[in-house]
Amino acid sequence: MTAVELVVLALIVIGSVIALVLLVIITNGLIESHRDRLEPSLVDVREAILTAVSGEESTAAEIIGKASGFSKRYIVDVMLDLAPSVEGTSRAILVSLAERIGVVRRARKGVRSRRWSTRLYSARVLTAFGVDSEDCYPLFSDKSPEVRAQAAAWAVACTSAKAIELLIVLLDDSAGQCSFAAQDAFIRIGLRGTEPLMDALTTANEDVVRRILEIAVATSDDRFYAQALSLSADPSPATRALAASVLACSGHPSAGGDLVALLGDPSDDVVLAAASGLQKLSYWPGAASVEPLLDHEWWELRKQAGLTLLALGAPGEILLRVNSPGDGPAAEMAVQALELRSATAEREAA
Amino acid sequence: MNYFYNTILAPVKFLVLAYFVALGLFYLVLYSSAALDMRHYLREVRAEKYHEILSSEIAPTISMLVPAHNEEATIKESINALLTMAYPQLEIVVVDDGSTDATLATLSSTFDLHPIRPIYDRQIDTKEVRAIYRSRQFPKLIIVSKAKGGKADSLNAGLNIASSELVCAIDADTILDPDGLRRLVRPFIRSRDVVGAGATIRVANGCTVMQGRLASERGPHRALAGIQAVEYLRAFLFGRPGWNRLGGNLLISGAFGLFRRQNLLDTNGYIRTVGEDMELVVRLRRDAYEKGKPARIEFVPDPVAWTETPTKFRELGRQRERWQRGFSDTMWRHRRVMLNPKYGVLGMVVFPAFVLFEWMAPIVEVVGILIVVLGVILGDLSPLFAVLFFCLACGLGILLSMLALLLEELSFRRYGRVLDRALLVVWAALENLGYRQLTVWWRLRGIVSYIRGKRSWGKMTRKGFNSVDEDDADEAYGSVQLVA
Repeated sequence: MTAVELVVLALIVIGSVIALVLLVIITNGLIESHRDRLEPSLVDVREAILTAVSGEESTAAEIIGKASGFSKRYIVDVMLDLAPSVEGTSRAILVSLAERIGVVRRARKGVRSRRWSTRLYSARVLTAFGVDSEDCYPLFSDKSPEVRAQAAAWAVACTSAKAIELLIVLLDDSAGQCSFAAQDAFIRIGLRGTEPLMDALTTANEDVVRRILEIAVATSDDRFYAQALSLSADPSPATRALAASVLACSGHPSAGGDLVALLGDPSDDVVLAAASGLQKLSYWPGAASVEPLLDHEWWELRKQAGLTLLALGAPGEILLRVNSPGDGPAAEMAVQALELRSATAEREAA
Repeated sequence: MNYFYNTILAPVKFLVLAYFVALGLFYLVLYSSAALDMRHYLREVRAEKYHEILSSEIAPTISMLVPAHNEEATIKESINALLTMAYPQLEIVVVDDGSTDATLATLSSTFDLHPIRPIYDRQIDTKEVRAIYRSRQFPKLIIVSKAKGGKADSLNAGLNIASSELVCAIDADTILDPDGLRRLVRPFIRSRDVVGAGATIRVANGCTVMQGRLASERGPHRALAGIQAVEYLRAFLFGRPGWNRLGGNLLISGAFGLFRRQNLLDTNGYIRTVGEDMELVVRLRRDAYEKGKPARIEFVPDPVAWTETPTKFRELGRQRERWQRGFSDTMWRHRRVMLNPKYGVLGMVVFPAFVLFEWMAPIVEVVGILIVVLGVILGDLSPLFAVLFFCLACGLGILLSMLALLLEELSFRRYGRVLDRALLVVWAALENLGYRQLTVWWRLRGIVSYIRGKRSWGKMTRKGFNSVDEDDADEAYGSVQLVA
């Protein structure tokens, strides 16, 4: 084969592929433009569904009639869009509609599919409509992290003791989106999740303990106080720092004193969290213990000390003024903190 | 001439041919990887409710850093759009880098600014910060007024003041999708190893902008902008997702990228160079290898930032020359990474591929053209072969663009109208007849000017969306590198 023949052959191959690609683009474009033409009627279906869920005259049969010209996927997409925005009777109507047109049945079947994308989509459908299904529990140990994360979201819609138990296992998942989804699920589930989480705290590994403490900070449930106090003596500084944050969020009457004690911790991160907690609690008796931190070598800690003293009212402000003369790091931070106060005052006066 | 051809060019012609074949194979691998990545991503996000996941209290906080220099024409629209971004814990830090126009005055009158004195640590040294303001209307909006120090200096000033876990660097003239951040943050939630994530940049020249938002997503109807739109699609739907599976990206566009703030501070932030966005990514990855920590750079195809592209050849030429200088500078600064096993896949795969198939491409293309032209003149090559070979090169170029358009068609279809998408096909074909050769020339000039020591930015005109050209506008920041 000569060089020219070779190039001609290559040209034929490339030309054919271009033609094929073009054909796919044109075909897809035509299908899409056909869908665009259907769009006004899709608006009708959307309106019919909205009317139905608001309990007005449209019936499910009417909607199904209107929707018969469309792919079921369109209808499901409309319903999925609507699902997070409706509650109570409207939601019940929507779910009943989804059941009547077979969406729920297909989703129940879909969570057992061999394809991860089908399992994921089906789990999302069941989550959106809040459908409880035994078939969802195996999803917590699915091999796809996306599916496991979705299972956590489903647990918020269908909370049960078993789901909570599986969520706790998911907190230890190596895939970031799974542990994140489990934490988020516990925050959304709220107080119902506190007791199981407290039980888990006693046996969990270090990473899970930290994740539970993060949940405790977000939920601010004072039932975590006792365990947070005990964990404030944990060997891990990261755990102690989070425990200090939980103490501050618990709002327990003894929390202020506990945080003052943690100001003496050998880890700077723990001291930072304790000082931040005192700021949150506005625990003015701690002012004298915070003051030495203005001179700390770590800038973040000096800044936190300034902010905390500012939040402690008159006792803190007096200590800031005492420290402000001079040119050391403590004076510099005290001046900056006081400037912050005067800038706020100026703004309020204006 | 005969001597030059026979002793220098003729022996090289087989190398050029081998390069051509290798390039084709490389793009085939890259495209397959991109298609797989896109397929997985589209399945992953189908029916996903971003608002549920990312309205979480434990979602990472984000500070947006917006460097602005003489952006009077576009700043109001851009900031308005940022303020309506759908992300729960967001702070916006606009850094006015010694503007000589009314950028600061526009910001002040539009957003009702008042001076504040926050306590912050100047971890990275920057030019003097003159004042810091907060908006009375939108407390999450902070404006930093500083002496002129360039884009990198502005980003560093913003980095010092920002307080969030993640920072998002964008150009002031960029228009973002309202839920872009929620999509872009996903890799950071997925893994602690992710240090940066980039998004797609699209050409906004044909679009209508109202109140800092795109009112209609239209493809450009003029050839120059249209061809650039195809180039952007090729780079962002084909190149970047392809690298996700082949060892990670080497570039996050400065127009829209998200990073872990602490990683940026640890590596001393942005440095003053023509291609600071690419340099930063290479430095972050290199630093991670040196410290023995994993660091991944992810590309997310879904969130989109829209930007205007040059509408005049002169401006476009300057831009491409600047990009190539930036690219050359980054490759040279980090030359020790090249083929160094210490840097793993970065040193052995990603870096060499970028040097071979991106940096060297204009040089090889010019050598190839020279060989063909001189070969025909001196009778070494038949004119028929030369014409067919030129057609083959054009055909490969068209095929790559068509494959990118196919990905667009089967995935996002952001240019909604059929006519717009049909025009993209036309631009993809036209690109190879003159435009591509011009870009080769500009890139070559970029390499030459870098070797000759030119390191400055040059000027770029901003005209603002839906407004007329202003030929004499002062320079403004803009950075969308189109590589791979």
